[in-house]
Amino acid sequence: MEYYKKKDVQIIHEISQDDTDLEKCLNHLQKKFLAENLYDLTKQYKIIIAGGLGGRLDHTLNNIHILHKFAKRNIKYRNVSIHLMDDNSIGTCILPGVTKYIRAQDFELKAGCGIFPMLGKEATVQTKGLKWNISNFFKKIISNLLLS
Amino acid sequence: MSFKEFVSSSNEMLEEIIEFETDQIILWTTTNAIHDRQDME
Repeated sequence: MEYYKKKDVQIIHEISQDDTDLEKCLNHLQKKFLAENLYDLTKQYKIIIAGGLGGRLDHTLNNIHILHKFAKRNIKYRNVSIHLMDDNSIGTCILPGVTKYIRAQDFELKAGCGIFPMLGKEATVQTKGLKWNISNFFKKIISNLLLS
Repeated sequence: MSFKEFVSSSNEMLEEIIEFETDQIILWTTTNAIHDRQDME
């Protein structure tokens, strides 16, 4: 805590035990965005959750659940994306419709990417810009994980 | 290429912008380059 105080990081003590710390942070950011009218649709905002993946499996799964929950809740704000990150992976939700995902060149390798349906049911997906685009040979219904 | 071959193949991003079209929320994962960087310390 002292480390972050020295870095002038805003520290808010939230006593509620109804949400996880990650949800508290995201709720705070959402309120801040709305209060300060920061949802500028001409800009792209990326919220990076460092350490959001890896570690305890139950925490990781819960973080992915929260990722989906906020993506669903903020579906109209397509310019805001939340990214879970650890030393090995980065994960984010892609919303229904057409999305242009800009690769973070400093942090994302070109190789090794995957697509997973979030609701446990089939998703119809097409891609452009990958070595093996789904649309190159068929518009695939993804019912299992798709990774490399 | 079959779907099975596609799933087991090594995929990579050729473009800096990847375009998706989907009918529901999907999770997109990529590989963190942090291990390849020598300046992170």
